[in-house]
Amino acid sequence: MSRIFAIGKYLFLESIRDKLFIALMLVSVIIVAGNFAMDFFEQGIQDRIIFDFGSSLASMLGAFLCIYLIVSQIRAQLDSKQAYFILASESSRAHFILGKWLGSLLFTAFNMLIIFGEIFLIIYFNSRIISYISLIYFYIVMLKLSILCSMTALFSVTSSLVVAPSLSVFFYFIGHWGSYIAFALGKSGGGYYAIKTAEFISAYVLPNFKYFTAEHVISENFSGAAAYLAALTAYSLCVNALLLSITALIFRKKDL
Amino acid sequence: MNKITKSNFLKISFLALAAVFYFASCRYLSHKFDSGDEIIRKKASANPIISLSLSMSKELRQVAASYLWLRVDEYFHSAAVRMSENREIIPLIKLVTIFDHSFIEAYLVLAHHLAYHLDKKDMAIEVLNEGIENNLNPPASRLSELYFEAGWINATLLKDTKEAILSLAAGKKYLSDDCDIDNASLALRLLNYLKNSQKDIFDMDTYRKTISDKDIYAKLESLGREAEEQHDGEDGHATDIEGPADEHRYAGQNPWQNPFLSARLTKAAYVYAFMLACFLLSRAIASYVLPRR
Repeated sequence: MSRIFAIGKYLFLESIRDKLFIALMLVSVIIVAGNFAMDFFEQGIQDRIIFDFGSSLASMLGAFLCIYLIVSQIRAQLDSKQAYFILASESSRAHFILGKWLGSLLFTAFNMLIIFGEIFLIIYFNSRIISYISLIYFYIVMLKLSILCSMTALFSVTSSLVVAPSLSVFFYFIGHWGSYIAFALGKSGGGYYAIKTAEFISAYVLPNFKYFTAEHVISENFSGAAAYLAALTAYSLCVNALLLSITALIFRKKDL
Repeated sequence: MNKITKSNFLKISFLALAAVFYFASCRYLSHKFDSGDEIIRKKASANPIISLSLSMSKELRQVAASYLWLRVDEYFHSAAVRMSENREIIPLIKLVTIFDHSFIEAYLVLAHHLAYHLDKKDMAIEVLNEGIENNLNPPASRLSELYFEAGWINATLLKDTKEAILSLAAGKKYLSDDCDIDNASLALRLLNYLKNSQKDIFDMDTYRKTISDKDIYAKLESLGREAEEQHDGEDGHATDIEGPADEHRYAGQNPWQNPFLSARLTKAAYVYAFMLACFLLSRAIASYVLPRR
């Protein structure tokens, strides 16, 4: 366990010193800060607009960070043979994968925390409201990005430097639009079995990113929202466990 | 059982458990989300925009709705056309409700505009019913506002007292803390009046007489007192600002003459200066504790 944390910690420190990420964060912080100068609407609507634009920016930035970090830390290091420094030590290949996953997730969480903290502060200064939904949505986005990290780790182990991020982006979109594919099949005259198969694949086989919204937390009562969050956490933990196990298994058998 | 077999057994059990929990959570979540999407899907064949919105994730849909709402606000308050001639705004607000069916404000504004400015009462009721249908499962926190608006339109424009009582009573049932208190109290007062009224058809003039001027003055006075208390509670230059609603006065004017904007920007400057200081301090501490090799 300590080896996993050590790999994760050094990835985090290495990334936090990277000028590219600092510049990226500064740009995001400035864009979200633009909300401070926003013209006045009805209070609830203004908060909603700040939250919607800010959180979607955070989500997109987080997805970019996850894919970029994992691919550059796993695939690029394997190609450049930098990974051999870790693999030649006492750390196993599974430790390498888990450490890189943990480090990327920690760094992404750190960045997301800054943006969501900023959204929280803007809403507080604009309306004197403590936006609990910003904190909850931060958690939901991190669950979503953890799955994206695991998925990218799997593709980084199995594919090349160009194919791995492309596949991750592709499945990230499919994860959002999966149910639409089944719906479009139905509208374009697809057969019953084709539609049912598409529905099954989008719901049970591929990671479904459609579930990661704040909609049910806002609209439902406390017990409904808690049940939803618990199910979402269980879903994310299970997907991560399965994907990382498959990744570690493939990586262990792989000839380097 | 030797050590290797035991470790394999544990790994396989862990994976099997993860798979079981995965399918269970998938089933719960897919059921929860599909029931919500089903309502939109039924209407998708008639409207290509709904099909387009279905291809987007919920987040993206909400962003699109928020952006369109900014445009709605701009066109609604533009002085180019009179309210009674402003028909172009309808598709724009309709788009907001398509992209985000939980945008209660959009249903309310659209229905009010249709009923009171464009004299399209039936369309207004249809819009409200659609909003109610889309937000009933699970009931949205501001659902009762849609019922109250339907109640007002039924009572004052369609003169359908029975329907008005049904709508207002349903609104009372779903009343929550997120609803506008003043509007809710007015709607409940109307419900009370309609229930006790002997006439089948609602008469606005008779209803007006039941609301004494005293009630209205008492309400205004209490609102004034609250505003004064808020005014006294604030300190520094913030006391120059009356209240958030007054910022509407500065819409479309030179932004540098807007005291609300300058106050917000000053606060923002303090916040970002504080954040920058925290960042620099944490960097200094990190470089001291964790020196670069």
